[in-house]
Amino acid sequence: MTNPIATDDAPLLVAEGLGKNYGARIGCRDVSLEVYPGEVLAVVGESGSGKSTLLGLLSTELAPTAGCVSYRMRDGRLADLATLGPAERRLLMRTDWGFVRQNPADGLRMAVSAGGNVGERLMAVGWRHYGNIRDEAIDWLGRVEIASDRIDDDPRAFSGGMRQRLQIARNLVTRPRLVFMDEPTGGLDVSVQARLLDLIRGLVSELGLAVIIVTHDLAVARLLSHRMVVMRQGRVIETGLTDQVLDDPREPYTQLLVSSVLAA
Amino acid sequence: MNELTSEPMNRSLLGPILSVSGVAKTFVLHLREGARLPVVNGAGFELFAGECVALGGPSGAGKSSLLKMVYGNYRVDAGAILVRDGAETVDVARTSPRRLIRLREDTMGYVSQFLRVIPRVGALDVVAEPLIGDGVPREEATARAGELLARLNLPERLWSLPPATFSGGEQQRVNIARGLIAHRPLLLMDEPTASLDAANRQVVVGLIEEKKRAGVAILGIFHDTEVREAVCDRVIDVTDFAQAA
Repeated sequence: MTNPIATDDAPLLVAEGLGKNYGARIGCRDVSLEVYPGEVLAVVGESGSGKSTLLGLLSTELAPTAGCVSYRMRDGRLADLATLGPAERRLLMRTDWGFVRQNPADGLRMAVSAGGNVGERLMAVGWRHYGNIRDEAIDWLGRVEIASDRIDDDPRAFSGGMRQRLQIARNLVTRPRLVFMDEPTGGLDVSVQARLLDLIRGLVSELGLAVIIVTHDLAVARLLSHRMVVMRQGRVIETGLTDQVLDDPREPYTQLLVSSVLAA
Repeated sequence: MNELTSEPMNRSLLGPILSVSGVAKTFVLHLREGARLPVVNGAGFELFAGECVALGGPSGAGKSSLLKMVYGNYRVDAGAILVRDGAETVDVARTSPRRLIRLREDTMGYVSQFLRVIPRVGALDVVAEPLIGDGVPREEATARAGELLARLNLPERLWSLPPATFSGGEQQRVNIARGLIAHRPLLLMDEPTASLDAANRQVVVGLIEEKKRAGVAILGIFHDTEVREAVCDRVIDVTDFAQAA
């Protein structure tokens, strides 16, 4: 990365006093956090705790009622995302960011071939040569363990686990610096989950990605994340190193969460 | 480092690698009506390069908890846990999570009692991972991992398999190899020989002695008397730090 300013000691994403109300109902409130390059931050909590709302706010898919989100652009400046124009924000989403959704159908184009799903992101960042795009797509399908002879099949013919792996390839092919993940292993069989987790873990460390992952599964958080944020009723109630929060939880609600799982 | 360890004067001039003072910790169990479970109070000791120190005391005295506090795995209510990290000193009790991660990557290793298994990753790769993290080329890291597993008598046919299905003793040897493969000036060990037979205990004793000669400071829990007497220079009685508040 040719960036003299954004060193490891400068945060990649900064949220300050973020809040979101849905009418009278509170989605999340007063959330402040930082994510650094190469760091995996897990946001955990039960359904309705506000974790998906928070992810929506951080990725600018939702507009905040309060607070702001800033992002370190490739030129090193920290930009308030609310001040970016729509074109600039779209470019950021296509190039510097990825978003892996729980339901692959929400993150893939289901009627487009596997190769097309991966190649589309490359074309969005200016790749034009068909052969190069196809080679890169085959390479990425291989990295997510999809056989190259499936490149022309569309994801409707894929299993749930394969679809999720394809979604990961589609997101990582442009070498983003930050990837948002919303329950990426939710709804998959345990053996499929393990394979996907291992794949994500390997790619994240190999590519030095920063990841913000929302999960209700503490074992997933333990395996993938460095730091953890625990949410309840729209607020962050506990933060810290992942192993510290899981092994020595301080808040009553975190103690309840940790003691409620069979093995985290 | 080697010359320093043979010269205690120089060693103390450099100062301790680990300095614990006034450390207190009480668990508050909110699911048990806020029951308070005191662990230690006023814990204090120092650890120097090249020495191996055992935490002693009966079960439940807080040995494991204290070790976990030094690693930053358990939080601390009061006191300081100073670890020398090159030219800097980091207070584990107060530092930021990111600084603590870096301290663990560069300076402080931990050999837990049980291996936390990573799905699908083979034993050889599990062991080589810390070296690769240090920037050692994969091929060399894997070769060194193989040497260490061979020394610990782990059959070569197991090396490529994920350790999930291994026996307790096999998993522990993978865990020890992973914990010892990279150089870390401070090593924390929680019963590293608990499920090993006599021959493999001797291998671990040899590995610990090599670490000491390389100037590594080791703090550990060693229930096995034979191992403790072979490697430990002194014992800190954790019951001295019990509930004196």
